[in-house]
Amino acid sequence: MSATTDAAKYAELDAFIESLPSNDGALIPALHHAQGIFGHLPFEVQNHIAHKLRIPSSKVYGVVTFYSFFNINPKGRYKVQVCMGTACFVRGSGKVLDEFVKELNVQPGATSNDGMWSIDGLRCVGACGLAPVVTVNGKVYGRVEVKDVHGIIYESLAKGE
Amino acid sequence: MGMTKPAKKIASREELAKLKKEFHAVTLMREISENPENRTEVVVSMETCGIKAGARDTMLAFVDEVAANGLEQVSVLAASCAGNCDAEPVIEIKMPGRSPVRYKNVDVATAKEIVKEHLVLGNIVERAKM
Amino acid sequence: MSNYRLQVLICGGTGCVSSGCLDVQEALIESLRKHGLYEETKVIKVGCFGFCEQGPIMKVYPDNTFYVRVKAEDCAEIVEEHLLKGRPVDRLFFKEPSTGERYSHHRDMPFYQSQVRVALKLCGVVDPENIEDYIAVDGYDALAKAVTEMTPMQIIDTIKASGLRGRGGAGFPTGVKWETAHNAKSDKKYVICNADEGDPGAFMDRSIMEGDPHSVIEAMTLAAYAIGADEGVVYIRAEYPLAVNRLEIAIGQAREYGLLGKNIFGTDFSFDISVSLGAGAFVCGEETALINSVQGQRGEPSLKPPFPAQVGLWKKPTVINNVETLANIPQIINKGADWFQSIGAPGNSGTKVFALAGKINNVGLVEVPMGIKVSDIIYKIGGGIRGGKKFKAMQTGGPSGGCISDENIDVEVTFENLQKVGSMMGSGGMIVMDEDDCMVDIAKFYLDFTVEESCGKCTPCRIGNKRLFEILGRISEGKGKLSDLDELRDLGVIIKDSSLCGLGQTAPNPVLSTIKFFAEEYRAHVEDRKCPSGVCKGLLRYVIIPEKCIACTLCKRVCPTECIIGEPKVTHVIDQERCIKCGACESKCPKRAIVRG
Repeated sequence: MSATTDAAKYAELDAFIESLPSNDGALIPALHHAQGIFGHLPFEVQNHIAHKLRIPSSKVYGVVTFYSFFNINPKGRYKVQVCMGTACFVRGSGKVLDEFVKELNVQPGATSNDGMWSIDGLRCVGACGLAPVVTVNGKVYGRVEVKDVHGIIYESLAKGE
Repeated sequence: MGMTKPAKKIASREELAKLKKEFHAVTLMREISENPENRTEVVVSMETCGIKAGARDTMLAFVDEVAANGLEQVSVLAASCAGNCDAEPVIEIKMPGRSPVRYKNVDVATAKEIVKEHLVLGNIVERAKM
Repeated sequence: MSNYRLQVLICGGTGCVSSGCLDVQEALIESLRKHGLYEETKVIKVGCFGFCEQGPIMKVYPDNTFYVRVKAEDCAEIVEEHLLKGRPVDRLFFKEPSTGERYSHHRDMPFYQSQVRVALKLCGVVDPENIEDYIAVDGYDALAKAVTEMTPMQIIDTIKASGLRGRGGAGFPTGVKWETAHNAKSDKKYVICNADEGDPGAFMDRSIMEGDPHSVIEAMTLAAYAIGADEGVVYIRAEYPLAVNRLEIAIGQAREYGLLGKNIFGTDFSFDISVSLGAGAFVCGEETALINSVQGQRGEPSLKPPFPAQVGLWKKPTVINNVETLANIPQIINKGADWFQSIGAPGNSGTKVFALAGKINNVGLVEVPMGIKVSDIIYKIGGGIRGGKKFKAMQTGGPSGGCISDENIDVEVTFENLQKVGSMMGSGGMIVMDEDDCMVDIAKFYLDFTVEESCGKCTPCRIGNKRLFEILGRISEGKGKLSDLDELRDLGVIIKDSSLCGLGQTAPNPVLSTIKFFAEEYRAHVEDRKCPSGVCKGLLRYVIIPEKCIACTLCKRVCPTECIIGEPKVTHVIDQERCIKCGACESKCPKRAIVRG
């Protein structure tokens, strides 16, 4: 994932698509790969894939919107994910999510206007022993309480990344 | 160890069995430790006094000799001081169903002898017995 | 140094990675080097030990010492005291919360004592990234025996005789599925491993793939030989990066050894496996939806029959088995159908893995023989309810299941029994709830999930569940009517009867089971406008007990809406009109004078 310019990114995507054994069943792997390169799946990328696989754009759009893993809009620089699996839910992850929404003023599923923060509820990361679990850009925070939210936000900012 | 050598394609059940035997040397320790009542234990006293007297070398000698003699049901364990500092390195052999035997001043040569005599043949090495 | 004196196993499952096991491994290796013990010690990152509550977990051989909640800072002491001098570090032993007793060996711990490990047998035992470990413990011998000495029908008969039923939730006999695909005439057949574990709160399939991927690969290859397939697909959640990685490593190693590919064990049987990533859609756990997803389409289900075993992937006969089901298969071929039948209960042979979580002391992955009592899982293995609270319900089956109430707590776990008490086996999520959980809220939680995950293809599921969710919302806000309870029941039954696939047919279960077994609680919401557990915000009131209030103004200062009236030395009162029920005052009050009323 070293490509930086758009042209290089498209070239990388094309190379991947061409490496697939067949166009049958290639759409979802192509979308996964594209999201890995571009971070999200804007319409231009969707159209490009449609063209490349010789399928209608509407089909690509239908698939992208069906699966929650694919994003049409970019995520924030800091991606907050609050586990909403049942184990986390009964241990209070709903309140933790509310606190992030309140502190960051971003709704679940959305990204802040300055592109800094996005918040998502997640379906079970499977670390139920640590419930409730929050991840920020992949770093896992376990046994999170409402009072920890402020600290997590500042710790993420301080690290910068 | 690990996946260093290029793997050869396994062409028969016999070849698989041969490989199993080879790889089993590594997983064996985990297996026998899960059922410790059936194993023979070589317990090496590893307090500071023991280490000073050479217990580390003694211990590693046991590990190597046990492996070299193919003694699958033997584990070599470290333990704390038994209070016989002048007799270090002190070791103890615990065989299932038999009373434990302790040895004193076990250097590498004695360790080799104990493996051969006591662990393989079942004879106590009287000269080093405590 | 060719012989290891010590082997240290560190749990490398997702749970323990989240709690910092990689730092532990690094610190351990550093300490080993410092003391000159690195050469004689084999450090292995293994799969899940199951005791996630206590992670990261470390196991030391040959002592067989079991350390819990190990931090990087502890490694110096472990190496210096234990590995060098033979003095185990007692403070890192597991301490049973109910008795305070400490255990140095895992097999003495109550958490492990009632467990029987078949599907998880090698998790936490072998190095998942090294095929040599798997071969060393008889790995791939079942396959060798099958392809060189058994006919496909003999394998199918063995699986049928073992009584193995699908562990994905429905409990369909695996051998019958294989036989159907075997009998289907076609030039091409497929085997799919369903690793799209969607139940929020179940993680056994992930743990098996992370801890013992070769068992899954061997089992898929056995299935392929039995039905006559030459291509396999593992359909796995993209949210499981570690499992995907380990699986890909394992597939690569199996190919290197010729255990996948052409002419396996020198026979004319060939088979290979590819990995297909899911993209976050719960419905794709349903077989026909899964097939559509593998084909690159929206994961919408299709009408059955025809069943995938007859018309499946690319319209060819396809066997789809869940990960846990597959993990049992090599051992059944090795040890025989009678051995498998000797475990479990009549008609429910073998074991089931559950992800035990929620308000329980010992959270983790547990494998128990079928027929065990739910109460034994909660109290013997789980160590009881956290914080000494009162048990309220056990949720099984995830969004398709229901809640087992106190009156049914002694039910023996089988596919049929769990259905009788209003729940289901499901894929194995087991969430314990205590007196602080509101059952209306829990039902709402699951409905929220199914409404979001409904694919939208059929009307009963798409619209019906949305209506159920809205009614539950009304009830939890204190705007419910008594007739709403009947409506929930009627609508729920209709959705079950008329939906296209398993998702819709089971989606109302969380509502129907809670309304049946916790009717009082629903009525309290509707008739008394009260949430007995104090969860539903719309019904919640914070009040100050005048006798307890010391008028310190702490609550007043912390209130974000300034709705607390009072001065120093004047008893405070909450203005209910302006209160937003945030609970800030409750947690601040030094005298616990603020209560939910």
